[in-house]
Amino acid sequence: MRRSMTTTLRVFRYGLDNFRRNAWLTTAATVVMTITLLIIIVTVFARFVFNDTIDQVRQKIDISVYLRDEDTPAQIQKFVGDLKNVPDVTSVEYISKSQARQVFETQNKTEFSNLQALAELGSDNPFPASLKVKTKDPNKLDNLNAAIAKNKSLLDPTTPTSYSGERKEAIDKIANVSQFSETAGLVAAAVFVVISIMIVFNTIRMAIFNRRDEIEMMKLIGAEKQFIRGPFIVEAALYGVLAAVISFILMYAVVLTRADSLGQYDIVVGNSVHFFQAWPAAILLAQMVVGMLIGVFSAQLAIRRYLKL
Amino acid sequence: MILLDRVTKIYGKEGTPALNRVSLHVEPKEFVILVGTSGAGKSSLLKILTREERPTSGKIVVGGIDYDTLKDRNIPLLRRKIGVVFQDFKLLPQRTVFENIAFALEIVGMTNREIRHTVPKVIELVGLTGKENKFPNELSGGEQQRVAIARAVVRQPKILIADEPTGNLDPKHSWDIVRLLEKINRYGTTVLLTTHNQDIVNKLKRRVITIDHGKVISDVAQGSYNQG
Repeated sequence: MRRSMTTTLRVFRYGLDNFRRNAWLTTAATVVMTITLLIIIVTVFARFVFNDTIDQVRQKIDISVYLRDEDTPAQIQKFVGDLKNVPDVTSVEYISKSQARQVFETQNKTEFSNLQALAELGSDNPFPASLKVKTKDPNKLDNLNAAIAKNKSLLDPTTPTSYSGERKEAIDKIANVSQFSETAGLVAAAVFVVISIMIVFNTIRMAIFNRRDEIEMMKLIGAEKQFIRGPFIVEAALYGVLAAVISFILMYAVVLTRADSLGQYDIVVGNSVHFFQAWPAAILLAQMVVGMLIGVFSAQLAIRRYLKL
Repeated sequence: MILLDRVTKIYGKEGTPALNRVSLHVEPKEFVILVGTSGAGKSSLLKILTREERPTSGKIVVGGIDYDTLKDRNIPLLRRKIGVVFQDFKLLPQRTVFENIAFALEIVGMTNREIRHTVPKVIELVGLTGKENKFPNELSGGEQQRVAIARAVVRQPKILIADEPTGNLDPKHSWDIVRLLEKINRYGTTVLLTTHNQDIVNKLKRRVITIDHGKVISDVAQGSYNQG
């Protein structure tokens, strides 16, 4: 037990020695792996940010269905019931004619010409009553549209159903950007993971080549295979650990301190920033695990190919 | 200690045998000199003994280990019973004398305390006391070979294989090394020495096995270089 512990510690020490001795190759492998981990973490961060932004915009979206003045409370009640039965619908709010007028007046407080035009109508209220419907996903409206179509006879023929036009477009735009950035991030991450694997593979291959006499000697004096391979695995894992630390520092120092400026563009960064600030150890650990996996996988490939024992 | 029974080694499919039905028996604590021209088959024989190569046919038993039943995972255990010294020393240049010798103990999991206790004794045995912290490039060829011998014997192997250990040394240092090998042999280690140095072979008056074209052509108890 004690001997195997001593041996394990020595494997780590030799790995650390190799890591130090191989300064130039180590630097190259670590830099590439740092870039890879940065791309991965930025992609994850961007995904959080875009999701939060979209969620927030979605919450503001509603669909207004305008009603005829002749509709009876019973008919409206039934219509509301039909809408509430649609799975995606989260809320249905009835806005009466007078409430609609009040909303108009509030929204046009500074638009005197509009208010004046309204005043000229006297007690006539031109605004139709409406139902304000909120859904989970404004892009999935088929069921809702079917429920509206079923009650077509209750709709105000002069005022078409409003889908908060601009906001929907904004959502589509954000969703597109989000989708694109996610895809681009994943592609870039995949490309850099492959580059990292190739660089680490090559670094370990060079290390095996540089230390062939040492390996030969270790074999002849009776070193176990794991004892000979172990230091190379440790060395490659260390690239991952070091790269994780560097990318973690860069991520926190650069991205998070500048994140607030993104807020100017209506991008919701708060939650993501809070998440990153609340779980630094977990994020660092996750990066280390990813870095070590890349390193160990690449080293295993190189060892299998070039370290004949 | 070493038993070879009709051992044949052929490289490639239909090559000339590097070893051709070689049979020999080395007793424990013997000092045996293996001679032969380059390409005679000495290196193949040593590589087969250290299990770097497998014979094409024949039986080998070393230190009670039958190579026919030796599993790959147990090869390191076999090699720990055999110390090997090379013509080119094979020292680790970035490690000191102490570290080079300690390395052989580190790989078998010996504790640092045991290493600190054992290594100085071996350094004293090979006559390098005071040079523990020197690096190989700070030592003469003879001293480097002493370090290599110390590394080979520090685990007290039953057999020491010295493959042309004097090949790169001047006569004085060569004899220093040979005397050291004799000393190790007196402590009970079986020594198998290969050399081209006629003077050493003739003056040692030890058992000499001559190999030529892969065959043992002579095996004389107190032989000389050209007896075959």
